[in-house]
Amino acid sequence: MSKQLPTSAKGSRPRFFDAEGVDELLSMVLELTSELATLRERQYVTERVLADSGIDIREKIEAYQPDETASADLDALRERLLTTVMRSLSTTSDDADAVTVIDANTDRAA
Amino acid sequence: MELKDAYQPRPNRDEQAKKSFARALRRHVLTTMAGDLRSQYDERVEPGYRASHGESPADGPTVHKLMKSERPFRFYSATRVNAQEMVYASVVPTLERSLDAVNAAASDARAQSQAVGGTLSLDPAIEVPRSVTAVDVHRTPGGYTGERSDEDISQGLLYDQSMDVFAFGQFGEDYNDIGMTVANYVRLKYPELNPQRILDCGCTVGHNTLPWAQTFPMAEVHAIDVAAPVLRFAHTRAQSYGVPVHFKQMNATQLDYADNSFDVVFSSMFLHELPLADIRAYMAEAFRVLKPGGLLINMELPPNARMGAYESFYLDWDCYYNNEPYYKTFRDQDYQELCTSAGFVADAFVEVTLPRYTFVGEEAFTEALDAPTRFDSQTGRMDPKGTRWYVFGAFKNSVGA
Repeated sequence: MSKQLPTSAKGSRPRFFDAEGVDELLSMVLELTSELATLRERQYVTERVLADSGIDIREKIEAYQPDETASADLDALRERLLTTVMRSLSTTSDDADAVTVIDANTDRAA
Repeated sequence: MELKDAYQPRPNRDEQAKKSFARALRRHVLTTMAGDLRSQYDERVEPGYRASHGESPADGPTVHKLMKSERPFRFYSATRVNAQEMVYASVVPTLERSLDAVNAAASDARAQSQAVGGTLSLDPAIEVPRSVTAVDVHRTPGGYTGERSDEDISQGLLYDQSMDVFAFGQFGEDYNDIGMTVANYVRLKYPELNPQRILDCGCTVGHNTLPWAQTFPMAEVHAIDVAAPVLRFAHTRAQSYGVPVHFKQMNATQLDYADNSFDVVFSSMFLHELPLADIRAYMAEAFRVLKPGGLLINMELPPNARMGAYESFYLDWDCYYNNEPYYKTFRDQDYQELCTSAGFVADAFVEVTLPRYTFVGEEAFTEALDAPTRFDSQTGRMDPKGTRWYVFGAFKNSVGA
């Protein structure tokens, strides 16, 4: 008897898209959305808990004006997020043959 | 804390948020995306087929073939598979970190509720059929039989906790609407039956068993399943709710009960998970153990022959994509024939579609008792706008009422 609960079901996982990777991509998008929903919920609850403790940060958040440092931080944050989410577009080539594969033994193009 | 909550592990804030998201995603797929799917069929696929064939698609498999390559179907299906996986994924971490505490709390809850009078008898020698072990039905990791120890209730708990996410509230507060609906149907429609002994076959965690004991408090209620882990949980749960039920590990195709010993034999969402030979064996056993005048009543998915081509296709999705290998074969049967070949006479056949008792209340439910059966997009489907459960069975030897 295993001590851990199984995390995947016995049986095949159906696929719905002809193009390679689309099924996996959709799973990733949905997992990402789930993470985002979880984070948003936490943020919302944080604001409510602070408000219940007499600290209304919601108004302060609305009125907040970023200074130069904060602006730069936020710019970087947005850039990082975009790079992460769009990563698959910048690394996928239409012509798979054009991708150079490096042979691990010779450290040269295979 | 109430006893019925004592062995339920509490999700933390992020786990709760993940559950809420999976629930919202399920609801979105089954309402909004299902609506888009239907529009695509009505506006493009069906007219296109009619233009070239001179008639509408005749059955579910034809619709399935046409829809398979349509973009809305691909996204609906792929999202639905993910949503199904996320239902369980949202519950497992909570259980995983509380396993030992949960099993200890369950043991305490059983000890504290002995006076309720329910029992559990497991049969270690039972042969669990391949239909239960070969794949994890409806993609539940661990299926019905996964266990970590001889005392482990976590597989039942996984089923129980995921039900809220899976059904997004459509099974009622205690996930018992199906049982409440059918038990109250029997009470109101056939008052003279007044059952003294009731049997629930394939009861899983007993969500729909308890309503029988609650609706008929003087009756002795038995419930069987082949899987021990879900029965352990079922017993713990029933005791903690203060509802006496006798749970036994037993195969419905080989009942260890005397001939003519039950007034009602019930099942819910059970037959579609069985190979046809097992369905027939169960029906014959139900006939055998029923008293003359007793009632066999199964809540199930509606038969394909009674549904339109699109609705058949829509409901059979689970067979192709949700680890429900026997689902379509069952729905392709003539349910009346299943009854008559088990020994029931043809005119003792009972078939009805019912509004949900715990949603509409006793008054509206009573008014709907004699309404004609309806086969449409709300029959057997979880639709927040109004679901109707499908029920069929037969009286033994004579027609009731």
